[in-house]
Amino acid sequence: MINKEFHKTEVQINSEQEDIEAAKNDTKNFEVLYNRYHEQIFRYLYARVDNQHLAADLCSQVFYKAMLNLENYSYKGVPFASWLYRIAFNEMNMHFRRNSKDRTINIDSTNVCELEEEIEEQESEENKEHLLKALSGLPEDQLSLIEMRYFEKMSFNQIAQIMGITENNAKVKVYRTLDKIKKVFKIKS
Amino acid sequence: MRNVNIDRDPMSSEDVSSYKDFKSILKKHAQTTNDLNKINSSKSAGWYLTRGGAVALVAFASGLFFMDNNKEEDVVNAIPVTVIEDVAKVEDKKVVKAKVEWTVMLNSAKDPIHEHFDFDELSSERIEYIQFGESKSIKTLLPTINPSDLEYAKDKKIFRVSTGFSLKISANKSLFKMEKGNWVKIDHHPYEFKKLVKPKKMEVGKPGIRIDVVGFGKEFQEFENMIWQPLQSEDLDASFFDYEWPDGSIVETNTQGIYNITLVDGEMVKQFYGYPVLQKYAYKKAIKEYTKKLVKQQDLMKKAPKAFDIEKGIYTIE
Repeated sequence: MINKEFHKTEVQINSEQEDIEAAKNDTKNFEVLYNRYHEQIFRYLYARVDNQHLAADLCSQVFYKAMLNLENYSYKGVPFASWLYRIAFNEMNMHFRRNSKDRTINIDSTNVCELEEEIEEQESEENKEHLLKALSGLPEDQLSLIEMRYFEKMSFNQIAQIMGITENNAKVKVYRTLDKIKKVFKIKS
Repeated sequence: MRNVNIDRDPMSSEDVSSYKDFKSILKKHAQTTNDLNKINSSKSAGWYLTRGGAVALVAFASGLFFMDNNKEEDVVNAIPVTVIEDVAKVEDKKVVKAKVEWTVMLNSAKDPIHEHFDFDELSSERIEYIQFGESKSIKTLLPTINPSDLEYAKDKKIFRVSTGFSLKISANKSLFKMEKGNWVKIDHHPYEFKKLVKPKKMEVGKPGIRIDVVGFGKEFQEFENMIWQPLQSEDLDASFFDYEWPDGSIVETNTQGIYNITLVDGEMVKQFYGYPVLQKYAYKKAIKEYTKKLVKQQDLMKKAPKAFDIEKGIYTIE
C-alpha cells in the first residue's frame, strides 16, 4: 500500500511549498494544509486510542503545534506529511506517558494473519491470542514500529522520517521487535 | 498490558470530518502568539529569569528545538565553537553566564590526544570535544537530542568531527554517532584473520582422489595427505584414475568449503565439485591443529582494537 502523501511529484512538492509559505505569511492560510491532512492524522491517532473525542483532541493539538512551529519547517527531503506525523507521534507519546490506560491496539484480523506469517507461526485461535498478548506487552516505541510497518503498511523510509531515525535504524528496530515477539510467543506457547 | 480491539467498526470520512475545527486552533494560536508578544515587549528576559519564569521559557524553547526538522549535519554546521552561552543561577541570586562550548585539543608528542580519550590510535592532529554535566547544557549544544539519549550523554566525552579521520578503540569499547537525535552504534572494521580450512573426515564408501596440493594455495598446505571427495559420488568416476594429472587448479566456489577442482593432463581436462577430506589419523591430527589455531584467532579477535573510518558528525565512546 503506497501512501500518496509520502510519494509526491516535484510539481506537487513545489505546490505544497507554496501553500506552506502562504501559511507562514498568514496563519489563516494554514486551513488548506489542515483540510488536506486532517483525516489521515486523525486516523493515525484514532488507530491508537479507543475514543473518537480523545483522537480529535490530540489531532487538534497536533495541528496547533504544527502551526506554532511552521516557521521551523523547510523542505529538506522530509515531506510535510512526515513532519505532521512526527508531531503526532511525539504528541501521542507524551499523552500516553501521562495516561497509559488510553493506549489501545486496534487491529484487523487480516493484519493478525499477516503478522503471524511474518513470525512464522501458523494461524490458529491460540496463536492469535499469544500474538495479541505479546503485542500488548511491547514497549511503546516497539509497538509503534509494528503498527506502522505491519498495520499501516508504511515503508521503512516513512517510519524513519516519523520517528526521526535513519532508515537502517528503523529496519534494525523492526526486526529486533519481531525477534522479541517470536521469543515472547515461544515462551507463552 | 494494553487494551486490544479486533475489527473495530470503521469510521467514515464524514464522521472524521465532523471533528474538524480549524477556528478553535486558529484562536488558540492567536492567543499564544499574543501572550508571547506581551512577554517579549513588556519585560526583559532577565526579569523572567530572576522571577522563576525561566523554567517555562526554557521548556518552550526546547519544545521548539525538538520540533525542528533540521538534519544532524545542519546541527553540526550551526554550532559555533565559542559563542553559545548558558544561563545559570548562583547562590547570591546574581545571574551569571557559564559558557557551554566545544573545546579544541591539539595533538602533541608530549601530550597525545588519545591519552585523554578512550582511543588507542587517532589519525587527526586536533579534536573538538565537550564533557557535559547537566541536561540543559546538552540541549544547548545538541538541540535535537532525544530525551532518552540525553541521559546517555551525561558525564561522557562527546567529540565533534568536521573532517573524516580514522581511529582505533579497545575491543571492549563501542563507538556511537549521533544521528537525528539518537546515539547509534557504529560498526567497526572486523579483525581480519588468516583463513583456516576446517578439516573434514573422509566419508567411507565415497570415492576420493589424492592431490598433491603444492601450488594450490597456502591454506591447503597445512594438511598433509589431503584427499578430495566429490559432492556427488558419480562426479568422480573411474576415468579420473587413468591419468597422471600433472596440472590443475582448485578454486573455492561461492559456497564456503566447496571447491571447483579441475585436473589437466595435456588435452584431457576433467572437473568436479568437491571438498578436502582426511583419513582417520591424519584427520585427528589436523582437527587438533585447527582447533588450536581457531582458539588462538578467536582470542586475538576479542582483544584486537576496533578500527573505524569516521565521517563528519558527533560521537562518543562507551
